[in-house]
Amino acid sequence: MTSDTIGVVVGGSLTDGIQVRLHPGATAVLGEYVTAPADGGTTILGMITNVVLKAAESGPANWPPPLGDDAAAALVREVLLDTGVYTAVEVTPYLELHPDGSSARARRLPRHFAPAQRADQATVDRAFAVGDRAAVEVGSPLGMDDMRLAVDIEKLFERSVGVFGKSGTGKSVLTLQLLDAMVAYSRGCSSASDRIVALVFDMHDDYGHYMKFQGEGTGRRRSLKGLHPDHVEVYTVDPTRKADGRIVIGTEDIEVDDIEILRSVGDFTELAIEAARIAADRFGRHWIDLILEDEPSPAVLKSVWGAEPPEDATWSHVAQRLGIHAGTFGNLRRGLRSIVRRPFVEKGSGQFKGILDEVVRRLLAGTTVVIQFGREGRNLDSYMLVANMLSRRIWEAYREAVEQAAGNDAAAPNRLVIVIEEAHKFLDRAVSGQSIFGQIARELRKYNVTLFVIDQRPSQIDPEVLSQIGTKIALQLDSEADVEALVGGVVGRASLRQIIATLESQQQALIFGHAVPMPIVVRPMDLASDRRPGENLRLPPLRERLGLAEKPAGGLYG
Amino acid sequence: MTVLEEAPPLRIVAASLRAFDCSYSRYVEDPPPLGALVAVREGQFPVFGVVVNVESGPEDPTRPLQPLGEPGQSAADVMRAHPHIRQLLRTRVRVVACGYAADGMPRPLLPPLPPPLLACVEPATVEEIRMLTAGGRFLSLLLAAPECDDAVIGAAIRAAGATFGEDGRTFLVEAGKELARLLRAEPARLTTILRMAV
Repeated sequence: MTSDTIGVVVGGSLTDGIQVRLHPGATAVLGEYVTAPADGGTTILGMITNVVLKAAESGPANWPPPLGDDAAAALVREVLLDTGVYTAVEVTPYLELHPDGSSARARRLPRHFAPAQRADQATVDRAFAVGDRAAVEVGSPLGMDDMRLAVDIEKLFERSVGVFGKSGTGKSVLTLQLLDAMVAYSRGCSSASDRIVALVFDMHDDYGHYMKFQGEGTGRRRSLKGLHPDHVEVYTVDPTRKADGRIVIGTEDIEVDDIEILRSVGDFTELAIEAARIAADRFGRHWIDLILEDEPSPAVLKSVWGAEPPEDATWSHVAQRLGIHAGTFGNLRRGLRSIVRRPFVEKGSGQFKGILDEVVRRLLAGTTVVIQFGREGRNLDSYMLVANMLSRRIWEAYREAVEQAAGNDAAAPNRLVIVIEEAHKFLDRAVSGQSIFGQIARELRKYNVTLFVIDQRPSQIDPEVLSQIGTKIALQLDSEADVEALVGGVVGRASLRQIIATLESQQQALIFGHAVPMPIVVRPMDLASDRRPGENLRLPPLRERLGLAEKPAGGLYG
Repeated sequence: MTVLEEAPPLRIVAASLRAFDCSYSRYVEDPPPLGALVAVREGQFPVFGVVVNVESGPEDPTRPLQPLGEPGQSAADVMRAHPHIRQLLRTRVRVVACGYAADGMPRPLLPPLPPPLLACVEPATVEEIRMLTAGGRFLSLLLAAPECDDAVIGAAIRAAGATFGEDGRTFLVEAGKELARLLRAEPARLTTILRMAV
């Protein structure tokens, strides 16, 4: 928690950052926070975005000292360090902290030779303005292990959030920490409308009772349901798994808009979706069951030809009659057969409506709902179909609730965060325009619904949608295209790109965007085996003092 | 110290602000060596300097020394055999000023006045050397003197470093860094001097 001087300001600009020459022996790492005084008692807060080895003159670089262990060579090397050659850091200035406690985007610079110091906890807390607000601790800045960075939890979930990183970088662990804090925060809210709830489409069964864990200790950790048994409900689409409820979809519940998203995984062509619309219009809510029969039924024939259908009419004839190419119709039927083979799909009208109503009711009451997929998690089609079907209808319910509340001047429903994995499949350029997820991202928080996307390939996400993700959390990404997709259009993207490129494969994350006043590079906290509910939640001191929501040691609830 | 006590005093025979010439009244075999720090404690300000040259030869340059001695005799044997020769010879020492003392505190600055002629030149004490040379600031005066080539500066650093005992390495690094600052455009020269200083 100490402020220590690491060097002096020797140059810079607002666009290129401040150059700080490090004092002899001082070290600094990418992502550390640095302060430097400016005129009028203002403090400039910035982040180290580059570390540079420099030569005071060209000599030492052109004539480097000899290698070797002899005393003279060692002396020459030691002498030249921090004299002829030295280490400098580039600090991107983000905030001005004024003497009156206010802060603003940095529009001035410290003067030459101003001392540059590591920021302390108080300075960072002040910059992040979380002193009197509930916040979620996201970890420690790199090289500053004694400091904890906290993000305003309301602001974090005010707009959509994205966690991006390649496999094994810790996306799920970080997501669990954020969602755990969110549930813990909501538990402390007195009214349902103040709560933030999540609808988690849990592809790998990580957010129910337990999360599979590859770190130290046992192979699993308590997850959302395990931590908050009374405030999280778990549903499953896998009939072999136990849960609070089971998702069953009837073929009559499936609409064309529900399957359109499967275009992105190649199940349906665009023409097949058009064919589906024609079939649905012609055959009504039984359209799937009807066109999946081996031969066209009399009802189908009657619907297509009227009272006198031809003898021996085949599906090819039906397709031709409907103006659909036979190949396209075949693609549609193959895709639909794949769907109805899923164990959670039943012929006819299933219990879907009842389950949907139950889920909506729980969400509106402030309960987080986790949809687990069990063995079906290996099947992306199943995941996308269920996520799309539920999300479309739940978003519709929230839209109605918000509009009703506005009309009646009543309290709006609580905020809903829809958590989806493999987000690029839902949000790629081809389908995001029609997808409910693209719509939610674009509408920001219009109907109190936002997204929490978890993905490995942000470059595959529609750039327009990606730009609407308010807060982005980047873990290690290998692909240049993915990095560029994330930082493209962001102020200071060159330095952000550099930071992402240097993130380690685990336990390092860059957070930037809506919820944070400046980009932050953190080492997320460990997922301890004795983790307590709400471990990452930091409540405002006033509430703690008044005992409104006392936080026990190590966690909010026991 | 012992050697100089046995020898006749070394006295200043010519002086300026930046350098002074000293001489013994006869030939001595062990004058202060190259790079040694010497002090002149007479006059308004005690003056410190570094030995940049030592030379011995006839007092009268028109009467060169003859190569006396039999085969197998050493220089000492010859001197013992011809004791008058020592009196006809002189040992001279050239010193470049590198500091002076004010209020008892040695400072690595050019002295305000040259040391008095015929003043005695003595070895600086360990304490004086440490105070004068710590941080290497005395090197700027040496580098500015035309007589101070790389060998002189290397010898001066080595001589000063020997007085720091266990902290000799620290002194070497600090003096080296000061030298690096002064010679920032001449890395090869810096390397040469530091090699001589170790």
